[in-house]
Parts: sequence; C-alpha cells; structure tokens
Amino acid sequence: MPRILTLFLLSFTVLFLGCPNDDDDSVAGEATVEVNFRALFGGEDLQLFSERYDYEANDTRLLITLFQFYVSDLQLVPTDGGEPITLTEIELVRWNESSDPATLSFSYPDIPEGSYTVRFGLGVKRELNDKNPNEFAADFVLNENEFWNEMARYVFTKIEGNAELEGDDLFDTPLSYHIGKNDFYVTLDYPNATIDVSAELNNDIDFTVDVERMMVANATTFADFTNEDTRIVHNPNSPVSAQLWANLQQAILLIR
Amino acid sequence: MWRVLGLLIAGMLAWLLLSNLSNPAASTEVAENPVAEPDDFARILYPDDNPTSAAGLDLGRRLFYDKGLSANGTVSCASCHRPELAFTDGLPLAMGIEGRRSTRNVPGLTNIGYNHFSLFWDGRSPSLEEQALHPLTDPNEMGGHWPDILDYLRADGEYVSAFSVAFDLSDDVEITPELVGRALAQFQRSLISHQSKYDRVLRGEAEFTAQELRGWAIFFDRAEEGGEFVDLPTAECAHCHAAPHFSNQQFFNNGIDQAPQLTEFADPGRGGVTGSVSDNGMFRTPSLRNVALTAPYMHDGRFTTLEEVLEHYNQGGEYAPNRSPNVRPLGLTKQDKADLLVFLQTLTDEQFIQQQITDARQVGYELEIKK
Repeated sequence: MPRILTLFLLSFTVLFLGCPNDDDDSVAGEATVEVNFRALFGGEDLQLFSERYDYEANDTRLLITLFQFYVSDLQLVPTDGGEPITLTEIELVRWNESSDPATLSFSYPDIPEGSYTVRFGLGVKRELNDKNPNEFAADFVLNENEFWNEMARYVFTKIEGNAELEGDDLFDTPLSYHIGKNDFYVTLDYPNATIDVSAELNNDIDFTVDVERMMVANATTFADFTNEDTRIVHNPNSPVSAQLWANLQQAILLIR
Repeated sequence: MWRVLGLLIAGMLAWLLLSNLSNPAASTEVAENPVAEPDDFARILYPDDNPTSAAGLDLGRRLFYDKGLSANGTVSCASCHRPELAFTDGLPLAMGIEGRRSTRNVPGLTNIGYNHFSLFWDGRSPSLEEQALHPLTDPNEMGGHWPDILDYLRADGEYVSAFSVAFDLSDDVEITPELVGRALAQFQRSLISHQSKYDRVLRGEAEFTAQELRGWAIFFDRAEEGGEFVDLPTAECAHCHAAPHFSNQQFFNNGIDQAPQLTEFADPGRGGVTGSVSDNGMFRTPSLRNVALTAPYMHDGRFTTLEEVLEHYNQGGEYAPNRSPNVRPLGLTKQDKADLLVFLQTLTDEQFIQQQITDARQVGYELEIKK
C-alpha cells in the first residue's frame, strides 16, 4: 500500500513536471527519417516466387525465393563535420515471403534537423558478429536464425531461388548463396549526396538494390548455374562468395 | 516555479520508492516467474499481459490434462500432446473425440515457448494464448462449446479458486476463454528442454561418440569450414532446422509433394492462410528437439520413421517451383544417413520427458498406448 501511494504521488508529480511541455508531441528541430530499400531484378521491382526472370545465360530463367542482407551502423554524417548520428546499429533487410513489397522501409524518429550524408556497414560488424544469438533478445534481428555456427558466425547475405535451364518451364535447378565473414564487412559511404533532414520535408532516404546486378558483374562474368559447385555456395571462402559480395556492393545505389 | 516544486517532490518520492523496494515485505506483490530458463537460449518473450506465475502455470497444467474440457469428457489436450512422446501422439493424423481425424499431424511442444512467430503447421495463430483455444472447440479435436466449458470450470470449486489466485478474480463469472488460453500458454512456456546429450556436449558436460560427431558435422555442414570435416557431405539440415531450437520458425515447401502448378497441392498449408498461391505447399519448420520420440513425421504423418525422412531429403524431394532450394539431392551414403540418425537421437532429453510425465501424473494423467 505505501508503494502504491508513492507511485501515485510520483505520477502526479511527473504530471506537474510535464505540464509546461505537454502540448509538444515532438521536439522542435527533430524529424523522422525513413530509410527505404527497394529490391529490383533487372531494374524492375522484385517479386519473390511468382515472377520468372530472364537471366544472363541463354535460355535461363530464374525464380527468386529469398534475398536478404544485414546492414550495420546505418549513420547520418553531418556535413558540417559533427558527430555521426547512428540510426540503427543493425538491421536485417529481408525479402522472404511472396507478399513482401519490393520496398522495405525502416523508420527512425527524433533525428535533429540538418544536412547529412549517409553511410552504413554492409554485413554484421565485428563487434556484433562476435556475439552469440543467446546474448540478444529473442526477437532481435540477430536472432533470426541467420547464425551459421561459432566459427562462421552470421550469414551476411543470402540469395535463394530456382532456375530453369532446359527451356522446359520447370524451375528445378536450385540456387542457394549464403555469404559472409568478418573480412567481408565493408562500409558503404555516399559522401556526394547531401540529405537535408527537416520537420517540414519528406525525409526519405531511398536505396535500390538489384539482385541481377549481384549475380551479374558484366556480360562475361556472372554466376554460373550449370555447375552445382557454383550454384550452391555456402562457403564464405569460395571465389563465388567473394564475387557476389563484391557485386552486392555495386548493386546498392543511393537514389536520394 | 511549478517545475522546481515538482522536482523537489519527485526527489523525495523517488527516495521513498527506493526505500520500499529495498524492503522485502513491500515486494511481495510481484509474482515471480517459476520457469527457469537456460543461459544457452535467448530468453522467452513473455507477453506483457500474461507473465507466467506459479499459480497460472499450475492451472494451465491442470487444464491441459483435463478431459472434462472436451464435449464428451474423453479427450484432453494431452490426448494428442502426450508427454511420453514429447507431446505428440504417435499417430499420422490427430485423433479427437469419437475417433474423429484431423487433417494434420500433431506438432510437438518441446520448447514451444521459444516460438514467438506464428503457430500451427500453417502459422494461422499468432500466439500461444490464441492457439490454445483452437483445439477446445474444433469439432475434430475436443469438440467443446464455450458456454459448456465455462459452466464446467465455474462449477468446480478448485478451478474457481485456481483462476482467482492466478488471475486475481473476484467472481467465477470472470473466468473467460481468454483466461483459459492464458493459463494454457503459461504451462506450455514451461516446457523447456535443455538436458539432451546435444545440450550437454555444447556445455562441455558430455562428449559425442565418433559417429554422433560425424552426424553433427553432416547436419551442420561443417565441411564448409574445411578442417577435419572437409571430406564429409553437407546435408543442409540446419538452414531450416537451426539451433538451438532446431527450427527457424519459417515456412517452406520441403518437396514432399509434386506440384508443377502451385494449385495442385492437396493441402495448401501456408497458402491457405495467406491466400497466396506462391505459399501453397509450405509448412512451418518443426523443431527437431526430441524428434526421435515424435514419429510419424511431416504435416500429414506420411513418414513412419526418421530413416524415411532422411531418405526423402537425400533424394531431393518432388518438384514444385516453390520447393526450397536447400532441398536437393544430397548424395548421402548409407553410413552418412546412419550418422545423421544417431546425431538426431542426441536431441532426445529423457530428463525433460520424465519430469513432464511426473508432473502430469500429479494431475491425474495416465500413460496410454494408442493404436
């Protein structure tokens, strides 16, 4: 009973303290920033499971069933040289259900108005990659069953799908690329694009990421589906992993 | 002025509050969660409106084993979720009152509290609280009707008392289906297995045999890292059956039915819930904890033994355009499959099973053999 009374009085006092500002839902000079990742295939919105995509090699078509990657330390860097603002320490950007929209949005409130550039780490930064899933909350993004094992750690990116190789309308050739290791972690910086955050503006930061670009470096260098060793790749030390990881960095573009 | 005054009062009250917290007698209002969780697992996510208490858990257990909740008093939750079979029933398809058959195999409940996504094979239920209510009134399961179930509970003085204590009720009319679901969920969140040989090996309390170790390495694709396992095959199991609970809680077509057109699946599974034809033939990845006790296997219980399951995956499954790309011909030898089998048996937790049987007997459960 004394505790209930105390809590009541404390609440009453907090109410007093809050009165001078209680007509402000947001702090002046702050805004919400939306970071959007739009998945594409060949420039068109990615549609998992349903869309059949033409692929680089003759007569090959693809059905994509999963595409995902981790983003660490998504930051806004003030153009005046101030301290970076970390929007999130880690995010899993994942398209894995047929109903997933092409654009996945992540919302970050209470960002001070100002001019910034944006940067993020592609993959799971070492500080987090060294931790086991049980060290995080069960619904944390590093508890999404993307943990390989105590040696290989978290999978940074995945593409899965089925290919039609024989022109028979059967998508019966499985593709599965699971990639990631500490050495792959890289910061993607976009210093030439200024982002003005203002309570008066639409504060969207839009990225596109093209799955085809991740698999196709150029007309002569692309993921080969004719060989199982190059279409089922779960080994981070495989040359295919390194190639696709390099491609992914090029496949992510800042649109605004 | 007001702010200064408020700050002074707040300081005094904060001091008073801290004084109360340091007084054990003042802290007895908060019910302590009686469920001990192992450090090896990320903590269970308890709903804010249904924390587990000893009274709620005991009530949930009693409800779980009570045949009186069914339409004709013959079937309890435990009739299908039998503790001696890791909370399955040994049948291909669930059997309800009067021998009525469901269309799906009974999923096990080991570590079910760690599943914080959706439940049932098709994921149609968002929470344990909500899920627990389905079988009670499903005509092919317990076949009950809520007015009758509530009358039954309100007429039992022990139930009225147990609900009152567990949920701070003042009148038996406050017993509701929602509270029945909450109590059942509290009990199910207590079903934690972490004493299998697999767990003990991870903790350094036991060692795998050479064959179990090979099976473990094949299961977890350890050849990818080279070293001593580099010559072993990769069975791709852990992509879906991810440790520590051996399920990633997601939905896949694991290739058990041929369906060149996605409309050809006899059971649409996940697609029946989402309405998306692309999800047809997909089912939630079941946990493999205690899997040696939970035969038969798959959503329709079509595989009688684990050997049949392993052979299915070794063959690569039947064609459908949405078949998981991780289901493909594996080229496992007879020895590889034997190794995998002994590894899967290390996921059996006898201590957990025996404790659950003991607890169940205390509320009147009798072991039975179904044919």
